[in-house]
Amino acid sequence: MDTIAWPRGRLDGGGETGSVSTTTRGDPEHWRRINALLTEALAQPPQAREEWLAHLAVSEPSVALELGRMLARAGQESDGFMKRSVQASLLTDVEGENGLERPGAEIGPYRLIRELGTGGMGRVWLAERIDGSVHRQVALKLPRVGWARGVAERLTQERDALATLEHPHKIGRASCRERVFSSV
Amino acid sequence: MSGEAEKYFPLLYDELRRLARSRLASGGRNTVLDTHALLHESFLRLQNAGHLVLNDREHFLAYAATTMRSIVVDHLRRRRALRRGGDISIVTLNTVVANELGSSEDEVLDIHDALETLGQVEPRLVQVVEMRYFAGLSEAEIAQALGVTDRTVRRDWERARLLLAGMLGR
Repeated sequence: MDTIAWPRGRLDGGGETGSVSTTTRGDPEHWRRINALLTEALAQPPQAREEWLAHLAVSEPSVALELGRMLARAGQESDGFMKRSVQASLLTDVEGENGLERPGAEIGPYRLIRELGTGGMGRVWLAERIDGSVHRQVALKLPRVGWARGVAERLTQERDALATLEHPHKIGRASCRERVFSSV
Repeated sequence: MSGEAEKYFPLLYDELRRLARSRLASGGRNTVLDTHALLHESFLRLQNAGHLVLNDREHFLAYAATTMRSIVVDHLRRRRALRRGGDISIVTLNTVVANELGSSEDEVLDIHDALETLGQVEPRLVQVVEMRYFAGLSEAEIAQALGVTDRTVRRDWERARLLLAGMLGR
């Protein structure tokens, strides 16, 4: 069994800034006006909105553009923005507190045997393949519960980078319903 | 927050967090609690314990939704601070949470910030967002709590959602 390759670099995906210009983002005056216009637009049948927008665009093209983007989401069942409410599973802040990680638990193609260590990033478990396809034990790294943009991609990149190396120890990455994790 | 809401805030805050923790600790794998169930249970518990003189379940739900928003945001900020604290990066990923949440942590925090502006535009829209998005209440419950029709709630929600999307440049 070999050491685990932990992805490096900041992976929290976090920038504090949104993509709206800071001049309008927090300006209530601007949004009061947008709200009034939006209310007016939504009161009209959908097929009449395009003409309404075109009319607005003559005098205020940038406002019309902004409203056009917002109206495109109106009544769209497929629009995922804020579709689901926040779930209380967010409130867990101790890894494994929700019972996902325990001896015998199955994660992807692996069964957890015992915990090898824990750290700031998550836990490492001794695990074995469920399907018995490979008769060896692996160290399985389970990132801390939470969510960050780009982690899956980073792990994939890491796996791909390692795959190009000639090395006696191979790294695999498996993705299952619940986790992305890497094993060595 | 109104005076009454402020009075109940600390009590609700502690009760909701405690309930969430005990549920998550005792639940089996894949436990996902819905905030809606938590609110209802906390109401019954607080009422039975004699902490609530407030008989009115509807008002309670509005206050509790505001509290739930604070709990979620405080938690996400703490976790973000922890993650940035060390010199090694902390990898976090749990697609259960991501899927159930429907939004990334960043998105929830962005929505929270944008609600400050929305509150200055039309305060009722913020209440609707807190009750629906942060507390998972139904349209009928929100309508009752705010004393408006279901249809008004539906329209308010749509407008709030579009405005927030606009504010966040989505």
